[in-house]
Amino acid sequence: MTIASDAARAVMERALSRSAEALSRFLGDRVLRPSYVTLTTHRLAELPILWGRAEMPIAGVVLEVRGDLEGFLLLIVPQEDCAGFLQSLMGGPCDDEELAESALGEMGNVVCSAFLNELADTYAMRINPSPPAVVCDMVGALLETLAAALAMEKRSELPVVRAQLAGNGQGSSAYLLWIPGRGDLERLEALS
Amino acid sequence: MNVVLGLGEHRVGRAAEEKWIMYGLGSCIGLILCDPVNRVSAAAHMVLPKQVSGNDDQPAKYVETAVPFLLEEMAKLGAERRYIYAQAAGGAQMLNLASLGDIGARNAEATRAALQKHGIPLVAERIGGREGRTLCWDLRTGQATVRRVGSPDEVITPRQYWYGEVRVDGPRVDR
Repeated sequence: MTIASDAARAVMERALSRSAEALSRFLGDRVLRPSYVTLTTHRLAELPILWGRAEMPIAGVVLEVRGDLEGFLLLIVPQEDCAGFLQSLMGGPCDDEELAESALGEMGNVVCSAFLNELADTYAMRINPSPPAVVCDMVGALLETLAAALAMEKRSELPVVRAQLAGNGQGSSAYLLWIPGRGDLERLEALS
Repeated sequence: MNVVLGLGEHRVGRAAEEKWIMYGLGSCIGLILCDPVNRVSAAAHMVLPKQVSGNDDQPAKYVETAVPFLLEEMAKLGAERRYIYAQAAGGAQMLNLASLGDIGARNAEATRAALQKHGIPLVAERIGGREGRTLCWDLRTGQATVRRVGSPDEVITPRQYWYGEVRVDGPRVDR
């Protein structure tokens, strides 16, 4: 599945670029241009295996999107790439787990807020994300919990917007993932 | 042979060469039921305490329907209620987001209540906390293991329930 409207795709790509710029400023390091934004549709049961291996350890930052748009916005960093980002953030290795989680949470907040701000500015929307929640665990366990929350809303098929943000310094990558609320993408397309 | 049970999926059987695996349990509950005498097992990857839509055809997705459904399916393969015990993992609170509530705790509470209602003892559990877990059931040995990030596999089945140490009266399919 692709994003139907070129205009909507252009907005998504701008939002991703804004996220990359925000991440670059935050890290004090240039972040490579984000990869082509993709939109796929999945059955609820497929959500925990989006990355293939449900047990893959990651650091995930989750914001609940509220207001004119809904859903969940995530920044996911594979565990092996966390050290690279933390190196850029802290200027050296970080052994303090609590501090590392806090720094990654702030990084996720900056990246996700930039993405949402672009959408809010373009479509004159009011979007109020929740404070970031940080999870350092299996990617499948995180996504499975979101799947359960979405099952409570009686959702069985989900659009998922994804893009990769590749760091320049340590070869680190982070992934932005948006699970829009019911009808959000259609609304954006209609406004584009 | 490894058999993966995804969200809302279940399996019932007695094939001794199989291992049933539920990867990355977060708020969901992985439930294993076993009649060691007749060597009949069942498992479900349960997502929510109760059904939220009327036309869902996955009974194993919800705790309230999964437990009686698995018991019925086990009975069809010759399991006897008096021998059946349960093991469970999952029910974690992975995310501290106010609007989500604690789905894991609600799943855990519903699981314990459903097992109690049907008179099934819960002999091993790794439920709650904030950690993701993978639950594996080995039908050959009768051992359930739980895996967490950064920890070695942990056998959660009490030793007296391992197949090697129970008396087996029923037909066996071991190789």
